[in-house]
Amino acid sequence: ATAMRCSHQLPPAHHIAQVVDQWAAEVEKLSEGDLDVEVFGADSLVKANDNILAVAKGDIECAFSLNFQWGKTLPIMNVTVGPYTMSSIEAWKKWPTSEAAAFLEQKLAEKGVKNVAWMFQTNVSVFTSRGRALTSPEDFKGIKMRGIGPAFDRGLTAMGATTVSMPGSEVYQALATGVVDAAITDVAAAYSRKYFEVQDHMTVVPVLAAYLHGYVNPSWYESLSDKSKAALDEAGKSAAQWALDASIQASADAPRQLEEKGVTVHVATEAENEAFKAVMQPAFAEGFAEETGEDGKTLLGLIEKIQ
Amino acid sequence: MSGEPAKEEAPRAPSLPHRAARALSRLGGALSAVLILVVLVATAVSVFNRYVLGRPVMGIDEATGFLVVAIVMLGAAEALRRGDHIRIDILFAHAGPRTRWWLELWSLAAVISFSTLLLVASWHTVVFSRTFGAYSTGYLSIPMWIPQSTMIVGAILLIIAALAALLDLIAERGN
Amino acid sequence: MTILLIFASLVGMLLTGMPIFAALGLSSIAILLMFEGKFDSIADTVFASLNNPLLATIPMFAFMAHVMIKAKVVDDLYDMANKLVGHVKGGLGFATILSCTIFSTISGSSVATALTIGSTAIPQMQRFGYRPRDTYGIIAAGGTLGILIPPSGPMILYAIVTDASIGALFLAGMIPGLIMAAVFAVFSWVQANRHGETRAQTWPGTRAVARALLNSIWAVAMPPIILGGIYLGVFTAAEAAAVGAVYALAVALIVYRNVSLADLWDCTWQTMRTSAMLFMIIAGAGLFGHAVTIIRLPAEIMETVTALGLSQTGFMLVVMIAIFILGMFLETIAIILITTPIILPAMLALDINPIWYGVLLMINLELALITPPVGMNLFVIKGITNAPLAEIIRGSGPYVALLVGGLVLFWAFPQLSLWLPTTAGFGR
Ligand code: NA
Ligand code: NA
Repeated sequence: ATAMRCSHQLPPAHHIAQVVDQWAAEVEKLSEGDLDVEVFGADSLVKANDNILAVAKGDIECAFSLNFQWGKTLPIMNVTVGPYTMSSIEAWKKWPTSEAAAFLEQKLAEKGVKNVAWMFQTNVSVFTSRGRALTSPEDFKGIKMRGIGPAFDRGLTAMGATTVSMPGSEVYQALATGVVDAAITDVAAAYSRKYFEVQDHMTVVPVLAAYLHGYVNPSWYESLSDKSKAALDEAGKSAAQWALDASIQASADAPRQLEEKGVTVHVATEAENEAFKAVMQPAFAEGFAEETGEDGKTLLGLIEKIQ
Repeated sequence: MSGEPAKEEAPRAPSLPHRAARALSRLGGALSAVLILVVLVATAVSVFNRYVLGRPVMGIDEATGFLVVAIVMLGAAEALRRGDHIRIDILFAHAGPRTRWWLELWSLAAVISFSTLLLVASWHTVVFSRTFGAYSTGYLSIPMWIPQSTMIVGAILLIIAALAALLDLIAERGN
Repeated sequence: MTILLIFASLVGMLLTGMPIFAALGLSSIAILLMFEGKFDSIADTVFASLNNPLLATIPMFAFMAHVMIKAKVVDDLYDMANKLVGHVKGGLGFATILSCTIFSTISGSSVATALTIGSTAIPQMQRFGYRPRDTYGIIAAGGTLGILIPPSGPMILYAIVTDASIGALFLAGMIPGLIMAAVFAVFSWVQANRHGETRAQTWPGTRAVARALLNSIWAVAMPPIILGGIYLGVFTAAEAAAVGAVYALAVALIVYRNVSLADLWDCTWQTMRTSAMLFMIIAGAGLFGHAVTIIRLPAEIMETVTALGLSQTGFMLVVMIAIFILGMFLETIAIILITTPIILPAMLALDINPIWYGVLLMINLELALITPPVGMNLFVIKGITNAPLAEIIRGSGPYVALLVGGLVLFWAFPQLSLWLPTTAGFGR
């Protein structure tokens, strides 16, 4: 059997980490044991930010990254981080076989990795805060906020917030003590990381979509048998569906669980979302256009088709 | 367990390669020390900016991480030259002068082998990062090969410092 | 079998006396070549292990301690403790432990604590009739407090490996640290009184004591600034280090006015040497961790634990004994960095609180510092006094027993560690 080491950053209990495990078993099954997949989660083999280089360079065969992690290396991967760009579940259902996905796969191949799986992780985020809810762009003026990355944070800055970056392990206490006032996070994570103990208002917003995608080293992929390649292709398609189901499930339960913990949960209204979009979208789009040029425009056009 | 005392206290007049190696190690050490101060000031300034000016400095975290790599790589050779690197010296303590000489030789050979392998691997990494076009993911978004190349410098400095110590050791045997 | 072979070859290489970083690095490369046939990943791994902003906390705390020592702020500290309790028979040992405790809030290193307090306190105690052997024990043990009472270099490393909060760990070490300090102090007093030769110093007078107290205020103000700042959430641990260093600089330059620019450069230089040494071990341990992970050692250990059906208690017992044994031969930093990543998956699976485990690990590492044959604090005292190692080991013996007692205590009562961080809002 051919060893296939896959690194990712998610903790074992995360709903997408479990989809990765399921995907690994499926690959082994479909390849009839030709591929021996070993999953190393929780940053245990390669750190989150180093996965891309490790696979491209051939240190390991396979890894999963969140789209943020491509940063300036392949800025077009950030497209779904754009405020309200890929907010609907319907669009995500069409994603794996869409022209947009094929376009990104092409870009990844040109960069030097072969994409094998798209795992939609969330489109439900929360703005968490204490004392008052963040329901309009004006509410963000002058607050210190833990952001999620340069591309998305442009939108927060446009609303007047000051974004702070800090290691994940420090966020809870920073929120508890007011080193930062607010945060944006995936709604399920707000529950699993116990933000409800230190924040009492959360506004549910479909502001961004994040996905984890799996990719392998291209020359290693080329050396595989047709059966193994087909197994990867097939398992990738199944995993996209599993991830979608798991994410919808995770997002569905969280708001109620948060309310049970005493958080005032507010689901942003259409008008409120429009207001956020009006301020955040242009700020993001400007940076995105600058970094991605024609390719960015083409991709946004393709995404328009599946909305 | 701190190993040998400073080599510069040896009575013999140091040879030219020895002096050159010493100067390089010290230069690396001085740069490393300056970078420690830079990190210190940057962190203090970011606290000040957050509380007093209400505007945190972006990218300090990321820069600090890269600076840590540079601090280690620039300082490791000087630490080696001064015998700072921790070692388990039970065998040393019980060995005669002749065995000690061999152990010292073995230990320097180990440092040289490791540093050489690190040099080769760092070179590959830096070249790959450049051609791949890898950028850091944080606010700085700088090309990764820049911080990575401090490893090349560090490995070369370590090799030079260890080779100089090796020459001294061999000369010592001659005496 | 492979596991045993790997560890045997690592220990073998370490024993030949090559620098620890080289032994770790070369054995990792050997593993990679054997199982992967290539070693190209080592540069990426070294870079990843060092590219961490939290690591910068260590040199900043070290710099702070160097400045406080250089400005002789620490001398005032010992003077205060000595004047306060030195007039009691057997009180000098008490004063020494008190100084070690306060110095521990300045220094993140046990070796630095033993070295700094030891060079002043050992001669002083011997002058007043303490049995030399007992003075070695007091310093060996008092010095170990450096890594349990925050700030603590080893705690920072542990936090980085486990992704626990540094602030939470610092606060968790506080109460156990104070309890151990009290136990050491009382024991030293009892021991000094049992050996009748100990003489009391003369009472220097209330005014002299008051003056000494006032002089030491700058050292004593350190814990409220660093720990208070973390407790109240004014700053993160890394920022506390920077603020502490700035504070030390201000005290040295404005209050004491006894350090020159050359002195400060010297402090930076010392910091650089220690950091380079320490961080090279981190790089080496990072390589070793990567090599054993890629051959699935941690996963196998976890599978074994699951297969054996080990309970949390059983697992902890095995781990603590293993670390105690490793601690006899290895140096603390290497132990943290080698063992933690390997047992972390099993730890999480058994629902062991990483903050609580961190405190127990620190106490076990304090033991490592004073157990023969390789104990850094023992060597420090050997360096200061040139006494026979056997005598130093005998002096530290009782403290080994006390620390083992402490380990059991803090194991049995997790709240002693967890109460403070929980009230400060570290809820995770
Ligand atoms: Na300390
Ligand atoms: Na020991």
